[in-house]
Amino acid sequence: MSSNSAWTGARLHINESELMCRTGCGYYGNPAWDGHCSKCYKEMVQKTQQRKTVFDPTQKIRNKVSRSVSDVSELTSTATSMMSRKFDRFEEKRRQQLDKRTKAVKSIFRKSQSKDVNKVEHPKPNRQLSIESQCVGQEFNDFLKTLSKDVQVRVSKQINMFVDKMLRCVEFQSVDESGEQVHDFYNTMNEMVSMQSAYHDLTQEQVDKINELTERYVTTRLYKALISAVNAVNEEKDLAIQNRIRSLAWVSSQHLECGVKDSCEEVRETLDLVITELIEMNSRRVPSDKLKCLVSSSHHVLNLLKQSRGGSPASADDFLPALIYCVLQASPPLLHSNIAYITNFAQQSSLQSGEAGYFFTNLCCAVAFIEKMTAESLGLTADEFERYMSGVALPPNALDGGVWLCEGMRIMQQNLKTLDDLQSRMDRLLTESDALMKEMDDVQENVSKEVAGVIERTPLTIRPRKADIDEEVPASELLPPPLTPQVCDLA
Amino acid sequence: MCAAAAAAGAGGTRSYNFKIVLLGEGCVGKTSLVLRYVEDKFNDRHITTLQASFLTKRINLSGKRVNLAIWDTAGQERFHALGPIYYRESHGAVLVYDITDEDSFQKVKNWVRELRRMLGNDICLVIAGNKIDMEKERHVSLEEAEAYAQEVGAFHFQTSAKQNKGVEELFIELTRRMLDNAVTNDQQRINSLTRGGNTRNLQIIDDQANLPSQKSSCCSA
Repeated sequence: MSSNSAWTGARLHINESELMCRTGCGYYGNPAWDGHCSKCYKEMVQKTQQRKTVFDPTQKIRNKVSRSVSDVSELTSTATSMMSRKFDRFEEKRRQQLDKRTKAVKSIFRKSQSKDVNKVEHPKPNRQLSIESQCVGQEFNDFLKTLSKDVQVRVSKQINMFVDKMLRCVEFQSVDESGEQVHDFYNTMNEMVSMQSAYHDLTQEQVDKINELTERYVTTRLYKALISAVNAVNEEKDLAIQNRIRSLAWVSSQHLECGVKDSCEEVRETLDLVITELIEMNSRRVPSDKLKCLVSSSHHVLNLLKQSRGGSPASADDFLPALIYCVLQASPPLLHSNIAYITNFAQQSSLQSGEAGYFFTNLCCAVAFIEKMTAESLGLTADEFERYMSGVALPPNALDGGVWLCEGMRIMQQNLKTLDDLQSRMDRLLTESDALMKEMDDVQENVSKEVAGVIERTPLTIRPRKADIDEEVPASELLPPPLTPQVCDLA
Repeated sequence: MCAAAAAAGAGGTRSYNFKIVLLGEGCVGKTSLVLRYVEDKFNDRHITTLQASFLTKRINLSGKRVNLAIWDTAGQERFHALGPIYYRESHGAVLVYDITDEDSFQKVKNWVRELRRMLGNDICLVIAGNKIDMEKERHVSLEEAEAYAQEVGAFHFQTSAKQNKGVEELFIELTRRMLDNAVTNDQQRINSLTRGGNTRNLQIIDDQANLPSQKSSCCSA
């Protein structure tokens, strides 16, 4: 602030010519655009981008698609832009078809079946809200009703505006751009809710809840558009890692020195839980739900280590190799897409700090390790590694542990165990039902006996009816006294 | 860095969130060190926690509330390349070596070089020479280690997780430095904001406005 006085004397001299666009098109330029006007700058950027991405066909398509956004935003429906938009639409259709085809291929490989359900429910996302969106919207509304009217209106207005805006443009822009917009929106929401005076009386829990529900609502509403964009971009990487994991199927826990005793039955069961959660991650729509799956599977991994070694708590030295082993065993579908989806659309705060952030980082590490794994990192010679990778040979101890060869045996044993369990439960059910049957017989017998006894003791005699009904009957001693009107003393 | 240490709550009381990574070779006692600090435990039998890879601690330092998130990293050589994924966006690093193991000290030097190259001076470094309870088998001299720490702008502590020596001090010192860093960063941000305010007061004089026939125009188009 002390330098304030210096400013009054300072004069900046700018010539008219320096303000003009550098290409000399006659419009004013802007220093932020490298001295060009908006139109020339856009053209320049497009040219350089085209040059950069000429080798990568998917990038090229993406650029074309994103260029169509600028065409639309210009709102100048000249003949040329009409042409290019038509072309873009064609390109987009091609991309979507490509997407569909690969999805079909992937769905053959996919282990979890739950994801396909989502596709069916979303025939017309723009016309009618999916069941999930409706549920989330309902949840949000219910929560907002507990807040003041003012907050209610502001929050829902902001979110609806954003979702509408995104629905219009998300298909035409790259994932990074969408991710940036979503993050910006989270930040503005967070700032608005925690800074502005209208929200002063909100508690921290309410603020957190608003942030959480914002993420939930936005990502659920935009899920289809966002995930298809993410999948399209990461398709090659997803396939690559899937193939990589398959060719690494021979890697045992000894290679990774992670100390997972997978011959032990208890450990195998925990490993199944880890694998289930890792695969389940793909079927969730909301980034925070995906992270929850990851956290719970990481906890299972830690459990796994405890069962295998017992004793001291697991450090990262043990955890990371074990997680790598589990990822190799699970081969989770669309791994890169999921990571990209979470990175782009989760609340940044949850990724930078907290348990979820830590485990997510570890997952990224595991994926990076799997991709770059060499003979050296497994303590093998290059020749051995090569032979194992190509499937020519198997590691010597592969048959001792017999983990992946005896998968069928293991499942059979598990099924036998389940059958045994069912058998014993069935037996218990049968004995219990027998007992119940007997009890019912007893009850029936007892009741009929008692009834017979009562009838014997008090034989039914029909007396002649008395003329006067109102007369007191001495036989009705057992009955409660007749109701008499209650007298209230109002005075 | 400022973004991670964001203000919490509208009431003006803010708490700082810091991320600390633990780096060092396997078996130097990273885990014992952090468990000693967070749980005040060393013996295996007494430990209730399932894991020691991610731990949090809440402390109060000179009237400021600080949440520490301590990230353990895998120390094996083959995971070295994954380092950048771990230490990204962290505010502090504890580099642990074993005083009985010369190699582990070399490893610390490698980490310091890498961290300074990747993150510059944004990250606060503390070097911990662990296992001073095994003084007899010392292979890394104290003078050498301290001289090195000074040279790279890091603090050096001698610790023993087993005997609970120097552990608390190490984390307190690290937190103090991270707080200083965060406060300076905030200050800089405020300064740049106010300076930004000044530029908005910059007077723009159109040269041609002096000519009678032309009306003054804004050039910010």
